[in-house]
Amino acid sequence: MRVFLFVPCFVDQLFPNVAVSTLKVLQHLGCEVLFPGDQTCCGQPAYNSGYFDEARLMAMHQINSFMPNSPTRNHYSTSLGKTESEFDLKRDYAVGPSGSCVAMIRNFYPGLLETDQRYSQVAAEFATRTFELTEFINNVVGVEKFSGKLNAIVSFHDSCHGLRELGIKDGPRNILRRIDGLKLVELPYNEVCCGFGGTFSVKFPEISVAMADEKLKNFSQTKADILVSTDTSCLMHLQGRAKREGFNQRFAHIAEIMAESIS
Amino acid sequence: MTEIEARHFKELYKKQIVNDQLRANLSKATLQAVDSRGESFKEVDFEFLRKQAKMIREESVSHLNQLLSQFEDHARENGCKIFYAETPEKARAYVLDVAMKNNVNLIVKSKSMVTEEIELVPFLSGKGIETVETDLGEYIVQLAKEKPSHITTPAIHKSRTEIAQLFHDKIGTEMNNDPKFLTAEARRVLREKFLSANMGISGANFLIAETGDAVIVENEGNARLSTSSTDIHVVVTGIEKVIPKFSDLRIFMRLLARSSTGQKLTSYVSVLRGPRREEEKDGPREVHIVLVDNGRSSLLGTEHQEVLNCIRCGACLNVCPVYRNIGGHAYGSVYPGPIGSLVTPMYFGEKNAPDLPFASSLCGNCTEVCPVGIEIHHQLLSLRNEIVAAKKSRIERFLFKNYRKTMLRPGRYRMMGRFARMFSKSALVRRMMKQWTDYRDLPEFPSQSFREMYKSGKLN
Repeated sequence: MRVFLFVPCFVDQLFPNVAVSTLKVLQHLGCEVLFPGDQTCCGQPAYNSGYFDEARLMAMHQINSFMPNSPTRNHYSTSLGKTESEFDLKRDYAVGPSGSCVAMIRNFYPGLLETDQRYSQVAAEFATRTFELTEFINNVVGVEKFSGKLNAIVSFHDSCHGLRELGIKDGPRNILRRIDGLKLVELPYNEVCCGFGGTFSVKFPEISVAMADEKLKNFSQTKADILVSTDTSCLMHLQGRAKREGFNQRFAHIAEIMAESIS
Repeated sequence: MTEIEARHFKELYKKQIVNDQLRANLSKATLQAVDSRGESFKEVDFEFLRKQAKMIREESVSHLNQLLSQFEDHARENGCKIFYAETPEKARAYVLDVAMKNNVNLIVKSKSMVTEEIELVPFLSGKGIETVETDLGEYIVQLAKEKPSHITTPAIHKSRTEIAQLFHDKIGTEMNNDPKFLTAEARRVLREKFLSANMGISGANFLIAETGDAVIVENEGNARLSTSSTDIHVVVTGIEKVIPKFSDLRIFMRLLARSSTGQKLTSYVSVLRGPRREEEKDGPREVHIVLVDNGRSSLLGTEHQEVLNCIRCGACLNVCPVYRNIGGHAYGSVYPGPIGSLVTPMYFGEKNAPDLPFASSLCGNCTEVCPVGIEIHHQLLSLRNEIVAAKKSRIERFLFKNYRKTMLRPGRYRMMGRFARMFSKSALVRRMMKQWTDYRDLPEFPSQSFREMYKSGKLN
């Protein structure tokens, strides 16, 4: 099974270990993993801020970076100087460690590009081939292929885009349950948003952190050591707030926990 | 007269969010409502009902003119007088005219968001006509000289103790925060008003095109009294409330109360079919129905049309974590919460509420619970796009243009990323990230990005 890594820009730049862990886990599960080096940002911050035109160009770039030889490729793209593999829409998968960024590609690229003759078809097909890591493991690879060992008490945070845009609920929990020694304690009000919300977090910081404080209060109640999620963005926000407020629990992406459990 | 304070959202919410008592009250009440809602939907098929409701509302809104004229014909046959008001001014003037012609000096009023929208009560009071809110929540808010902070539970921002204090100060009851006691006290005062009033005003949850009925859903019986105990009754509601058939109610009756309060059905459902008939002993002698547009028809035929599907249940407010932290008053509009962030700019102009569509983390919980299937958070997104397109904020445009340029050139992206990580601890970067760093720590910036690690070959 050939997988093209989709590494969200802020994961690439700020949390490379999440991407490294994703790579390790996928290889461990027997996938051939490639990383298209021209990918940058999926465009979600622009899209969510109302800058649809900017987001559209970024969506085109993102698709081009997975399909460097496609006729749609625009003049901006410059490859890393080596012959890159072309993403095959019939056969390959794009997998990323973020429900939010995957939702951008799956749920919003088709609409954003539907009036563009060159891209509408490929965007619609690319959307169906793009998966968030845990749903890829559950729905494509088969969760029974995964097992690990890690002694930890963890709680799971459902990211809103994973939960409501992609319908991810049991998948990550199924994976965590396959880790020997790991105890999963459910978070009270686990479907309430943590308050990150992209640019919302800096446009209305007081509201954003009030929501984080609620989440951290609920997390503390679980007495778990680690808060695990499918989305690094929620975790960055919660961890940043937790540090500021003097909490000392760990915040980890589910890929990191999986990678640790198999090493 | 209709003052939209929503353009001051940024100042308003900052005042509310530091009020711990308010947040505690809201948190308790909304989470309880969320739990009851979830419980009440366990025994019915929410998705099936929602699909039906969405279909009926879509049909209603896309045939609005036709259904309204059907409604009008039948309501006239039933003996009602119909008045279309494009603006709040026209609606208020009509109601005042009815009151003056009948020498009305005291009006009992039941809950209606449209009357809040057109600021009818302050207007009538200003003309010397005492207008008393008889819904308990509305009565509390009126006593406190405030505005409702929620579509269905107007006094949700107040605790029992705060209400006991208010009653003690304003109507001289003893200090006792038992809800039963407080309700009985309000009833004592309001019964007097019902007995001496000479006009009633109500809203309507649904207008039935095939029968000309106005349907009111409520729990306290005050709407039934307001609509039947006086000689003159005026219904004030929005033009979008019409649905085709009486039998359509079977869907909405199962959805509305569950969405709103987690009840299977409200205590009272009243169907008003015109004034008292000859053989009848009670009921009003005159019934007027004022149908308010006030910006609604401007949504017809646009991508925002589905917003008119709303049946004002308030479920999106209860689940909204933003609403839960700032409360309804922060929105500066009679319609707060997620649906308010749509309706306010859509009805009253985007310029009047430029921040509301952005005041959402887009978590989508509103869309998940909406009983008529409005894609609330996607509508917020499309409003954002319209606002950005019309806005002239040069700095923001510059930033987004440069962000786009960076993301379209992988080389530039790599360089910018390296610089950002290198200088992450510098005072300048920290200052630029003030909106983040004033409230949260930044993560430890790694020395290498993933792509640098990947390219160096040390991952394989």
